[in-house]
Amino acid sequence: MLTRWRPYLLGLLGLATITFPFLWLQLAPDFAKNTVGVTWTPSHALNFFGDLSTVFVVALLIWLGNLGNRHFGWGRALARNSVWQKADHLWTDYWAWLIVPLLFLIIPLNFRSIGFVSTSTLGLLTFAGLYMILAVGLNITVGMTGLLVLGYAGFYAFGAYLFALTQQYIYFPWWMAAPLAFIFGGGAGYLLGLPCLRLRGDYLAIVTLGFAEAFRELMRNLDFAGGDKGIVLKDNSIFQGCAGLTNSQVCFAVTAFALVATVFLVQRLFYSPVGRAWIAIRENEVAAAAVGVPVVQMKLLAFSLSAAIAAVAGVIYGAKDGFVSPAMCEFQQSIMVLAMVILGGLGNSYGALFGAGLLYLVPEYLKVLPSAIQNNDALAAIVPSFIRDSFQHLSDYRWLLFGAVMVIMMLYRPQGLLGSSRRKTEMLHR
Amino acid sequence: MTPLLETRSLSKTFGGLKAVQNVDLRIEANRIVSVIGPNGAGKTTFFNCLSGIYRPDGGSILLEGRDITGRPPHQVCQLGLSRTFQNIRLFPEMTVLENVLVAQFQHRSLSPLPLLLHSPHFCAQEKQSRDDALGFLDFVGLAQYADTLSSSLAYGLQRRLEIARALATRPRLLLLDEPAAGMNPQETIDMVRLISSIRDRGLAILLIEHDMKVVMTISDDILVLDHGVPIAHGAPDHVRKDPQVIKAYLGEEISN
Repeated sequence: MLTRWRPYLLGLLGLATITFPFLWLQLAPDFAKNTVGVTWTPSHALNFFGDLSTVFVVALLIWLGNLGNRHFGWGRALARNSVWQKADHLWTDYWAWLIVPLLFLIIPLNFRSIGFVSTSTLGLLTFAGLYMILAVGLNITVGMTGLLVLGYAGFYAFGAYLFALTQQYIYFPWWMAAPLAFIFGGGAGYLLGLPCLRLRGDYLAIVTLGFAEAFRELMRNLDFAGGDKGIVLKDNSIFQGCAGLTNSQVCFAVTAFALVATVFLVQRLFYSPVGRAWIAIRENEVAAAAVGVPVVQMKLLAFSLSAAIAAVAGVIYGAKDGFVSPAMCEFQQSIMVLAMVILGGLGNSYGALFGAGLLYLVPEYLKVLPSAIQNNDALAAIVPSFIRDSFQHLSDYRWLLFGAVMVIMMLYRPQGLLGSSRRKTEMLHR
Repeated sequence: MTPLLETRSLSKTFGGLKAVQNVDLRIEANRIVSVIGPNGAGKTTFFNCLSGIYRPDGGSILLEGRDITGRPPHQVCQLGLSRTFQNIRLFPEMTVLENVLVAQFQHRSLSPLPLLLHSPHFCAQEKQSRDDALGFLDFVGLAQYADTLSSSLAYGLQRRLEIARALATRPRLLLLDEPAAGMNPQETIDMVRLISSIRDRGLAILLIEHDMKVVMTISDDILVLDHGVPIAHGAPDHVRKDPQVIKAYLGEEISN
């Protein structure tokens, strides 16, 4: 029982550790001096732990329900002919997978702490959420189906530009753009995958890399796309505060919702014949075809879905910042998302979430840590200055650090931090 | 009556090498037919043509009277022809049970809405798949290993798993590529038993095998290939005495 929940708890704990410093740090940029001041707000942290405990209670309830269903047949008496009964208590696992996105949603939106979470912190968390969506999306193709994609940010920018360009001419708010971006992004992925997924080998990696680079150059050179300057979106198409929520809170809530929806979609597919077909293709393409899996179609499905998810993330990005530029699909962006997937664990949505949180938030954390120490008298007295400075250096050299971490990962833990928990769960479903 | 499988002058060349030349074969339902021949005789190439992995250069393949020449492997499989591989091709990172579950892909409805919402129908199907898969594992004697990683199975058991996986596609014709290769005498006897019991389920079997004891015991019909050319075809007793077969296997001098 513990083995089964260990990855979930580990992930929860990891994510909580990474996120909570942001909730008790307040960023205050000083534009005159060009510095960022940071203040400690321990009372917020207490609220945060209060919120966290509600999430743990929810998790505990799910766990107890699962336990009860398994050992004492609670579920059976409750719903003799319901879906849950027939699902053979599969459902508790699905919902457990949603805890992390839910956690992400609940904490800052919780009534007690919402007032305390600063706009800048929400902005950071929203970005973390966007990266999580991208990582989960990319994981379908790279982790589950085993196809390398090197230009994933191309689809991210594609969605953003689709939104930005259209809203220049007609009324096209983000909530209209998001579903359309899903469809058109998927279509773009399908068309791009069609010629190269029929071939074996890593052609997809090259083709997507080319797509992202070509798309960026195209947008840089098209006058109506704003060139290097990009496009500033109209106010009526981007996120607006409503229902007592501020702008950034709406933005965060939409991101969190999109993240939950993405994880739900991907996990449902993963634990279905489709997901099994994807893994089979990754494991042995010839054998998969020989047992009746339409390999090309399944690869196309995986890749289009990845592209569609990235395009939706692009729309959210545009609606968040109100600004879209060719820098969105720089090669570094694609590699960053790929690194998140690899670090977290190929083929495991949960790992992708974890990797994205880690790779996005840790550097951000390192950035503010030195000034946070400096601003706090007690800490400034304890922490020697060279340690404080070393955090600064760590942040400055974070790309170098990423490289080192990736090499070490490949050597000692190629399956990623969380690896694939699929086997374990599949075993216990019986 | 149309035979289950019929090949008409099937040929495949690789550059200048004629791997398979003008092979005519008829397999009736519920029969075991063996393909034998020295190494490099084109037996596996012949299998690859039948199962759609290679596109033949000439001739045609009819499965239950339907032309399947040049169709992709997954379609051939869906039409009722399934196979195992000489060099075992399992899905190593999947459990034994999952390996068999993959093979039920074609028998599952994939309508997106029931799948995403877990409609009762979908859940019932999922459960049915699991039960069926366990049934197939039980049939080949692997039920107790259902939760093991397939790559950690012993060699002989991996061969059995491949057979269970092939059976799970519910074929009418099963192609077995050297199922007894690398097995000890006891395992070979068990494998022969398994093959006979597959026939008892109403399937026809096309077999490549080097172990002559196995071939002579269970085959109804034997096709002998040498350098891609069919040199003999008939009942085991007939093939055993065929001078051309003896020559192909033992060489000119000895047979003289």
